[in-house]
Amino acid sequence: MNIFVCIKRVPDTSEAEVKVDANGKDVDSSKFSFDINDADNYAVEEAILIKEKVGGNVKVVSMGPKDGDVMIRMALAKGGDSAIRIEDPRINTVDPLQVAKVLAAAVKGQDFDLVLTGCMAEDDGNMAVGVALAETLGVPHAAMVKKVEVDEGKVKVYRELEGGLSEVVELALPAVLTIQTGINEPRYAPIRGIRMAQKKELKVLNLDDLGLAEDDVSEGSSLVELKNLYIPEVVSHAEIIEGEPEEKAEILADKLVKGGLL
Amino acid sequence: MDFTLSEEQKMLQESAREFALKEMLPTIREYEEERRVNHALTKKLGELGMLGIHLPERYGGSGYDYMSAVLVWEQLSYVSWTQTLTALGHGVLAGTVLNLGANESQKQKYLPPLCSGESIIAVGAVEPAAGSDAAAIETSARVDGDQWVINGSKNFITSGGLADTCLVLCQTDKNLGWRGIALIAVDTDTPGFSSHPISMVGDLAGDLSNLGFLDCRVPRENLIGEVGRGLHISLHGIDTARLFISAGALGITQSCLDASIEFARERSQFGKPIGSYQMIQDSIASLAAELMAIRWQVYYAAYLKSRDLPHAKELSAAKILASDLAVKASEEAIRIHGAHGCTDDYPPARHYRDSILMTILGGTREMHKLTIGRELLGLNARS
Ligand SMILES: Cc1cc2nc3c(=O)[nH]c(=O)nc-3n(C[C@H](O)[C@H](O)[C@H](O)COP(=O)(O)OP(=O)(O)OC[C@H]3O[C@@H](n4cnc5c(N)ncnc54)[C@H](O)[C@@H]3O)c2cc1C
Repeated sequence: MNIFVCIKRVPDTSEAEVKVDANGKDVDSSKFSFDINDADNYAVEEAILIKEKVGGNVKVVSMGPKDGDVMIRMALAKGGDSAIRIEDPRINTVDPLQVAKVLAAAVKGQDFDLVLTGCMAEDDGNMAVGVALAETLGVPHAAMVKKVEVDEGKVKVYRELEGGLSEVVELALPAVLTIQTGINEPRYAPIRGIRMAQKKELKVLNLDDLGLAEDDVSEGSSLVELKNLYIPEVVSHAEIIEGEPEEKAEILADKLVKGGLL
Repeated sequence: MDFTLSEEQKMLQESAREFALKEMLPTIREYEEERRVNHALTKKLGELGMLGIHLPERYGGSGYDYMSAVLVWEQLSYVSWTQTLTALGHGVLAGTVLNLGANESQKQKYLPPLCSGESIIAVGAVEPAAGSDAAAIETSARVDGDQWVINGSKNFITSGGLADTCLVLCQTDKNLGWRGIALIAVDTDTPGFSSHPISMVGDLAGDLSNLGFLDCRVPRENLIGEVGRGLHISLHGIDTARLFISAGALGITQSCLDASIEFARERSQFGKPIGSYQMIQDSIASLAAELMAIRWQVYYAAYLKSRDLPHAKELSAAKILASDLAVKASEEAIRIHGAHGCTDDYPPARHYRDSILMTILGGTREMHKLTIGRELLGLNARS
């Protein structure tokens, strides 16, 4: 089974304050630490689990600058076989369709049975790249996958729906699955794996290597334009409820009910 | 001179940090309160290749240099030093001793299960009357047919009560002094072996035991190396252990510093975060300044040791400075946290308990000063 797994390096915004940069189109990421996107980490684990079960090959694909190499090699240390990093300033990373085109170009023309992505990137939250990638490759897809069972020429997947519902679908291979967090328990990179990962192939490709024209994937040809980023103003409406505890509770309950919160 | 970490070293750091935060942090309090050893954790450290991080790959180790090992140990100790002490006595001390002193078949026998965490091995050198003066040991080993007969006792042995095997430093002939000292492997199910747990101020989630040997009979082939080499082999192991202890002290200091910064930003008194007061900033800045300097001293010692270059005074300096700094950092951090710092709701309290131990095992401050003094003056205070 030839498996591709697409991973993205995202900032951890939980520790540092988020600030919009001077031109209003990006956040100032100088204070952030970066790591693999959470859902992608599960996708890597799922790819390796499938490989361990049915045999095959796991190829890691990521788009971004060299700073992402540690993350990529970490996926190799856990059991990935080789990797491709796509780096080209001409790529418009704001448009998920264009990102999907780039990733598709890296997969196309190679033997693949499964492409796994995370179901969502924590930074832009589009939940679109995986699905668009399937479309671009012309193969079926399933999104928000919580369980995967690989069979001869097909794959059975369990998808998470609202309200605790699950849906089971069967797809013909090749297919794209976007993986939901919690599907497995991602392993730690064993330190011998870290050593081995240094020797595994990590190819760096640009648009020309992928056979893509700038026009296919640049900002100019995108149907999506990022206008600006801003931090919503924080407004607070506080109301102090006076009275005896019973009265206060009654007034509060009344307000909650009227406000549709209860 | 290159001060940057390689991609591989960054990965080791990241992997160890993630492991410590996810596997050690959530359970450390429970294990400390119940004074239990987390055996599953030791196994996991083995599975990930951390127990034998510096040991050769052909014996199940990970084959990394000391610099890489230091980076990993820093991250593990950042969360809990007591949980790394088992790995230190076993993987680092016993592992080094066996790798240097054991013959091929002994290595094949002991090292793979040591690296995987399947069996635990302790090293017993110190005795009631022989601490810093290790050559003064009295535990005796005499030959009887094809067996060694061992009598005596050992004190403060890391994981002594958990071990499957103990490498015991024995005197084979009092008249020979250090030339009579031998290291002998004693399986702990040997009749006559006993262990007695001791309670220390720290290391609450580890095991420290006193050991007794009463006519313990073991095969003669359990001799590790030769008679006369026992002290040398053990001291080599302790040399490696003290580097890992120094790394652990860096981890503790970094944790105390990070916790203090976070607390000082969040805790407000007199209408302002306490971190805005200059006296608190002074504490934090001073700790940070010392940590920056001492970290490089530890890395330098690791660099020298990895290249097999002379490093006695450099490592002694690193050990004194780093372990003293860990004590100071945990104390300062508790002060910055106020009464909160005296509880186990915050990291400094457990680091406070553990850091003081670091100043003693792997050689006391005084012993290391004698080492540095001997190197500089060419005069040995101890002979
Ligand atoms: C947590 C922990 C784990 C340990 N694990 C092990 C283990 O696994 N195996 C093992 O064999 N041992 C172990 N030990 C024991 C450790 O190696 C000894 O405690 C250490 O070597 C010091 O010996 P001592 O405690 O007997 O102190 P002593 O040697 O009695 O020293 C007492 C004091 O006198 C000072 N002193 C001694 N001689 C001189 C001198 N010539 N000049 C100036 N000052 C001097 C010392 O510096 C110290 O301050 C462990 C100890 C601890 C705390």
